[in-house]
Amino acid sequence: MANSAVSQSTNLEPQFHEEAFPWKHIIGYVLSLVLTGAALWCALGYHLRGSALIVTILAMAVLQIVVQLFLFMHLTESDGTRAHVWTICLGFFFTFVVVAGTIWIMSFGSQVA
Amino acid sequence: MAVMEQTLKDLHGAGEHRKPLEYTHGGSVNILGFWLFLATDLMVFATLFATYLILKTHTDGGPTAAGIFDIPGYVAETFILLTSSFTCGLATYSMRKNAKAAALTWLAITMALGLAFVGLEASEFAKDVADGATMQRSAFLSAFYTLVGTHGAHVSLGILWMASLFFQIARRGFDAVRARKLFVVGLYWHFLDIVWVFIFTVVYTMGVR
Repeated sequence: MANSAVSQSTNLEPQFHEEAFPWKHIIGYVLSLVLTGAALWCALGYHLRGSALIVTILAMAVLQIVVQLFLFMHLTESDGTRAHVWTICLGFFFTFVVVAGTIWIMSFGSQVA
Repeated sequence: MAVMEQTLKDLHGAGEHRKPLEYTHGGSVNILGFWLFLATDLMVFATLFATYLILKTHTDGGPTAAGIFDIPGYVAETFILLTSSFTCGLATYSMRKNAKAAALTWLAITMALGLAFVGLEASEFAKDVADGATMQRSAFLSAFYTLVGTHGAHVSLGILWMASLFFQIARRGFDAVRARKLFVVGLYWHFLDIVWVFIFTVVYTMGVR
C-alpha cells in the first residue's frame, strides 16, 4: 500500500517550470544549425583564412558547447547545480591544459630541433 | 555542504514535489555522478585531440587530411548528429510532461539518426581504407581513426543504451528510476554532440582548409 501511494504521488507532472512548448530546445537547435552553417561559410567559402579562421570557428564551437549545456543539458537547474557546474568547468579546464600544453611543449621541441 | 544536505534530503524523499522526477529518490546523486563521468570522459577525448593535433602533419608521404576528408559526408554527419541532439532533448522534455508515447517517438527518432550517423561514418572509413588510407599507414591516420573511432564507438554504445531504455519505458512507463535513466542517457548524447562539434571544427574543417 505504501509503495503504491509513493508511486501515485510521484507521477510525472510539469512541476518544474517546464514550458508549454519546447521553445528552449527549438532555439538551441536553430542556434546550433546557424553556428555550424556560419563555421562552414567562413571555412569552405574561403571568407577567412589563417589564424583569423581558426579563432573564429573555435569560438563558434565554444558557443555550441554553451548551447548544449544550457539549453539541452539543463546544467543550471535543480539542486546539485553548483557541483555540476564546477565538475564540468574543471573538465573543460583540464581539457584546455592537456591540449594547449601538449601543443606548446611539442612545438617548442620541434623548434629547438 | 549544501549539496550534501540536499542529497540526504533527496534520499529521504523530501521536497520532491518541487523537482523533476529524475532528481528525486536519490536520483540527484546518480546525476551528479554522471556529470563526474562526463568530466573524466572529456579527459579521454582531450588526450586523443592532443595526440591528433601533434601528429596530423606526420603523414609519411601518404594520404593527407585535405586528401581524404569528404566534405559533403562530414557535413551530413554533423547535421544528423545536431538534429539527433535536438530530438533527444525533446525526449527528455516529453518525459517531464509524462507524455510516454511522445518520449518514445523522439527516442526512436534519435536512435535512427544515430544509426544514420554511425552508418555514414563506417562507410567513410571503409572508403578511406579501400583507398589505402589505413590506420597503419601513418601516425596521422592512426591518430585520426583513434579519435574519430572512439567518438563513433561512444555513439554506437549510446544507441544500444537507448534501445534498452526504449523497451523498459515502453513496457513499464516512467517512475523516478526510469526518468533518471532517460535524463542521464540524454546528458551522454548531448555530450557526444559537444565532442563531435570539436571533431567537426578541429579535425575536418581545419583539415580541409
